[in-house]
Amino acid sequence: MRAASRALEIAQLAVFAGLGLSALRHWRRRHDAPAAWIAATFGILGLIVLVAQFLPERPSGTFEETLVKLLVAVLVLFPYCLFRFVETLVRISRPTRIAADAMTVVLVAITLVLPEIPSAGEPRGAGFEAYILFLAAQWTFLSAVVAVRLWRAGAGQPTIARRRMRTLAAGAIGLASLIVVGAAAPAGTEPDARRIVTQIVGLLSAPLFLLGFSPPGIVLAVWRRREERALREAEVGLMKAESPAEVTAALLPRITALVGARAAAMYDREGRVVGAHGVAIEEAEDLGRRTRDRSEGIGADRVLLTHLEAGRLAVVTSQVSPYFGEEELEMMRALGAFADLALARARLIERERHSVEAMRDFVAIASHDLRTPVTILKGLSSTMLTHWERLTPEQVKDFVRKADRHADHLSRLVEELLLVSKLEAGVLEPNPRPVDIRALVDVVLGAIEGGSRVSVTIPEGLEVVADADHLQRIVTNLVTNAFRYGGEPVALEVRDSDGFLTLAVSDRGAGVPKDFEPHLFEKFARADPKTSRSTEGTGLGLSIVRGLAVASGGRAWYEPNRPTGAVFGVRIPARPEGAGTG
Amino acid sequence: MSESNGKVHVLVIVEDEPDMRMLIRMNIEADPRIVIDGEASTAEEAIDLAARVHPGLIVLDHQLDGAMMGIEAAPHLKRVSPVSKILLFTAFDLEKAARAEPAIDEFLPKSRMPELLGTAERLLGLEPL
Repeated sequence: MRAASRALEIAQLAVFAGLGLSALRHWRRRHDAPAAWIAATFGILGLIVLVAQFLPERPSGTFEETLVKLLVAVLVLFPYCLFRFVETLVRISRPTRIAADAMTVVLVAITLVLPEIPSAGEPRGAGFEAYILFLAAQWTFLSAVVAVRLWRAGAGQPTIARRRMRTLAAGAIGLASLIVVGAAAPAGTEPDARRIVTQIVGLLSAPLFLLGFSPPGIVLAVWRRREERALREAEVGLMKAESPAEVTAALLPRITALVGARAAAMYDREGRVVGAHGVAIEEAEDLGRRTRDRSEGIGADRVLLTHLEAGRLAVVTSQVSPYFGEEELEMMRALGAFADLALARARLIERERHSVEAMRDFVAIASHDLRTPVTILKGLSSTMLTHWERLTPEQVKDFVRKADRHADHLSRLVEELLLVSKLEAGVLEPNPRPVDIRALVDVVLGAIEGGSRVSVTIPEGLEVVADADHLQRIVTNLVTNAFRYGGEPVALEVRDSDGFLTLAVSDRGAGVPKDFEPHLFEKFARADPKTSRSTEGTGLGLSIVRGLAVASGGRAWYEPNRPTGAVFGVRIPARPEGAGTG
Repeated sequence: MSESNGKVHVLVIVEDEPDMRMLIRMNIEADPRIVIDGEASTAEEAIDLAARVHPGLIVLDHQLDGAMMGIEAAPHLKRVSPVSKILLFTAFDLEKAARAEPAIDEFLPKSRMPELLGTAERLLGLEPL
């Protein structure tokens, strides 16, 4: 019996001392409140078990007796530290906290002022018995609170977090029952069956604490099986996704389940919400604004941020996730990286689908717009041939004039269609060279009917580095549109500021109808469907303006003019890097 | 079909292209027996006109200004003027759609403009000149 007891004592020492060291290492790594309290908890336990080995069975002398009291006082702190650890993770009511504090403070005080602590086998007075009962009550109360809170908080958590929390709860109950049994039946000098049992219970509690606090890899692997399966399913779902919406639909619900989170949202590089789960879009947008400039990791608001190539992933974790869900958070990061790939693929698919649809629409509209002038040309020629004898010279001239006009229109249309195709295929590279803006504008306005009436504002001697042909085309299209669809007076203003050339053409016509604004720069878009397709314009002017501006690294824009009319403009780099200078 | 002084009436419906309207008129007017009794550029205008005039033949383009296209307008034209024959005259390959529309009596692509007069005479029951 003595040998068995001694063996159990040594085993207990090894396990608890190991737990204590592990807890201290954990705190050195994390440096947060939960880590500090758990380090205190197991540090205390390890210290007690270690120091107890060197204490004589019957302490004598002031020093040894004081040491025993200190050891018991520290023992009182064990459940209290565990309680404080749990308090950092789950909400505990104020009355409970006050009771815990009060009991512990009183117990520590009593321990330190006790006249003596009887050794094993020595008789105990009523006062000491009362003290022991109070100690047992404190342990039981605090351990019960810890166990219940941890057990309940484990519900709804992923497997690993749930099992860790519940094994910790079981460990707390185990140690508490150890104290209660020890208090209820004080042991004799010789190790008896009760002492062996309490030592076994104590020993069994240690692995439970170990599993709850720092489970070994093999245990984690077994516990993680369900989450691993969910992870594989998420990966399959991600690889099947063909749009950003499908990616977030496959990813976000699984991530929230994986880490036991409340909600998750994904953002693109501009900070726009790509998808959200567990929150309304408005809340997701607010979350995005709050985390916009944050670095990766978990913030004070328990939002875990992961930066992706495609943007950001924000997960609103539970209070326990950062501590008990570390493995899941790592899995989540891996899944986030996978989501990056899936998003890139989905965007490519979406872009391709959009290109095919756009091409289909483009072909449908282009074929119609091309057919009209071709049909008229054919009609003019066949009518002339069929009715030549009855046509007067004036009619013949009229026919030829019409044919010439339609041929011009057709030629313009074909040329612009080819230009648009090149812009969309990305094969039209600008050729930037030094350009005298005033000279370019003068040439363009000289070739446009009404160009001399355009009011021009250009800084003296303004020279930029840009593709002259593209700029000429932009100015031509904007000014022509202003006369054709807007109204006089037409003004052209050019500015060079912040490294950008801004060119704006304004008119004082009726302006652009509000519902047409989103379609302004689309191919073949016309605000007034009655506008003749064959002679007024090709419907490609603004599409070309935008395409050329974008090809030069800039953009095109529209805004209403005040009090009436429209302003169309482009903003392009005035001196692009690496451009030729002559 | 309506007659006046031995002539028959034709309604010409076209899209927004005035030059195409001129060509159709010029081809049809080669037969002095046929009178152009009105022109419209939208289906709505054509339905009004047909209800008033009851022409013998309506030359109907498909691509029209407004919300209603030619093929959609055909049954409405037939309803307001059952005596009118309808010839779908368009640049698009809509022969199948035209044949599926009972209100349309004949289809002719614009690329075959020299056949317009002969087709119109046939639909109006006139012998070629």
